[in-house]
Amino acid sequence: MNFNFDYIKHKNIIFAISFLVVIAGLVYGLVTHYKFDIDFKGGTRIQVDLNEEYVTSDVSDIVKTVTSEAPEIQTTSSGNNSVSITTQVINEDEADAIVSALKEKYTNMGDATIKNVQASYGKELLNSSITALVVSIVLMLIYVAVRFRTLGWTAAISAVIALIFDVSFLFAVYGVFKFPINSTFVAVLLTIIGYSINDTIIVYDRIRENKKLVTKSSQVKDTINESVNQTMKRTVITSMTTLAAICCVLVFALVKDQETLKEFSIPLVIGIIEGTFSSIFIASNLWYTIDNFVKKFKKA
Amino acid sequence: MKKGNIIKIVVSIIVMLVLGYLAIFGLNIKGHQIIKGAKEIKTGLDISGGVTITYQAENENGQEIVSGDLEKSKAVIEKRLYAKNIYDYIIRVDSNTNQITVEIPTNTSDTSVDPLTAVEGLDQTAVIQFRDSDGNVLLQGDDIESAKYSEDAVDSTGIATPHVVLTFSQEGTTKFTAATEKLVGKEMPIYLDEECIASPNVQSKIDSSTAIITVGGGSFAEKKTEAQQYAMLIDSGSLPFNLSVINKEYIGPYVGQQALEISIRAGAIALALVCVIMILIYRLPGIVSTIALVIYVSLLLLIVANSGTTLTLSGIAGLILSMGMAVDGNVIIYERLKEELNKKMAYKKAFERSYKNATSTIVDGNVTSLIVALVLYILGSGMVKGFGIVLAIGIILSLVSSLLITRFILEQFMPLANKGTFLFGLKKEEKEVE
Repeated sequence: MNFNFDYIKHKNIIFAISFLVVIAGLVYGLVTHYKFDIDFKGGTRIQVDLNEEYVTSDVSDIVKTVTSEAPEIQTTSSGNNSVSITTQVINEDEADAIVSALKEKYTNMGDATIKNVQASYGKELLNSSITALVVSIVLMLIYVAVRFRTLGWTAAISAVIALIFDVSFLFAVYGVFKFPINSTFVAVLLTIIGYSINDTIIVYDRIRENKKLVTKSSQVKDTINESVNQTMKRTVITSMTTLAAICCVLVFALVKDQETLKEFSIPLVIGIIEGTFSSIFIASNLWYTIDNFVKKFKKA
Repeated sequence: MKKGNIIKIVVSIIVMLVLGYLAIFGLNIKGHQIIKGAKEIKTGLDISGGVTITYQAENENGQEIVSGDLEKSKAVIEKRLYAKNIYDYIIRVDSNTNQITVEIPTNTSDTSVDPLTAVEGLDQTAVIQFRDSDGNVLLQGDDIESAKYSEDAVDSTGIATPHVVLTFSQEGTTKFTAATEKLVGKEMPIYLDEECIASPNVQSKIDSSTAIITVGGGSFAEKKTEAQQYAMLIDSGSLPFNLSVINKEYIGPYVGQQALEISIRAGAIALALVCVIMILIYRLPGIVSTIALVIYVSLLLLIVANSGTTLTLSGIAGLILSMGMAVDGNVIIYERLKEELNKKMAYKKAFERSYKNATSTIVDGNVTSLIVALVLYILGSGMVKGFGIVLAIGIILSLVSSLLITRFILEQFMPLANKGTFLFGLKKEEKEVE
């Protein structure tokens, strides 16, 4: 199994398609609105097994006696009579009142899982998540710039642009499929950043090593292609083992209808595939493009 | 292969089996638990069930909230939890945001304690009352301006004595003077809510806006702790803020248990799958990876169990993910090794060169992941924090696993690299390896 692909030759078409896909996804997401979870915007979620057949409108009416606004009601697919109710921001007592009201009608209902988040708390969480994201990306930039200074600062910039591409891609996916954006999503996003930069570094590391062997700048193109091809097998195999591991979680989560595990594994699977793609096709191609551009600029 | 190689391989396998056993069952000697196994791992609220509640301190009249004030609220909350017979809880005070978070897990062996009712009323303003022995209220709330801890000398001996200094308001001073006059030689119990927290003896009539309470026997350190506790509790009656609930989450005990069982099964299958993939691709070195991966997972579980790290569902997801990523180091080395061996290089040289080239690559790749894991741990909230810490431990361990453990075992198998191409998955046409 040997790889021999001219990445540089096809770079423009790769850039164009990637860029269009992400932009289309982001625009679609923005136009149709992102779905922020109660983690970030505040609100209350009550999940409970009612232990009897129920009509969604009945549940909605019960909630409305307390909140006046209609809640979002989701039935779960696992075959039992579980219901997930999401309301706007209400206080703790109102949340308890809803549970008591439900209990009055559905006397056999199970233990309710209640999550009540006030808007201020959600905002703080959102801010700290954004901070975490920005801090991680900046730290990656510094690390790559220092460790790969022989490749020039353009290498670090390209790696970070590839990371921003990763983040944007996941946002596009969430915009299209309307997955809820919550703290789990942020954790996954950061994991993908760590994973994707890891792949990029492996390629850079090879380029750095191979570059010692060539001196003429005209051969840089070949060096990059060679390095990506040499590391390709490793990239594919590692992605395979990682995907295999996380897919086990995904399959169980889907079969057994486990919300938390689904929230984790779905974006991880997507992100790992995309992160692998971006380190192979985006990071080093981008480096080549930016580096050439800068060199031309200097000459002129 | 030499005899020494075989012995080292056997030892490695025994180490793997022992670690695997310890990770699952732990180690008990004569009823004493020496090493905790996977079953003793502390689980987060999302698994054990329970309630987590976050209070925001909001100041009433522009007075600044200092972290000492929050500590007083914490002391009151703890006292109230004890009064409800709850000893298994976590309280976190965040003085940057002025928040107090209380977590109470469900106690499955004692269902009489319902965490949801346990958190009720924890945020009420503390009512501090000085009473006489008949229960008549002498002073309360605003009558006491402050209660401070001090360890200055209280008499002419000049010996440092831990005590509480009470300062009364004008009205409080009048009430206190009258009360002490009446109660000389008797007790004057102090109540928080309806619970007696201290019963100091009135030694003489005190006609002053300040008074001190000394504490009973014990060492200096014991007296200090006790006096500090009293000062905080008495002072809590006049805190300049209200607590309001900004986040409350209740998770039933069965939801999490089910999720836990499912993730354990998923984890076991993931482990097997990763090993199978490695063996199919790399053959003999793949088996080495399997041994190293089992050691890796065992060590990870042992560290989590014995360091008291709380494992949340996201932490388990992180653990499973890290198994897939942990073999990355091996993949990098094996690919290098194949490259070198296919160049018809002698196995010893090929082995040395692969490690020399691969080490910096592996370290570089992992440092970035480690940075992200630490950012998650430091900046993340509750559940995300759990994911970060497991990921961080996992990354450090995977470095140990690929650079030390795999290296040690693989080195023993290297002589076989000369014998056949099949075991190492080398190219057929290059069969004449020297």
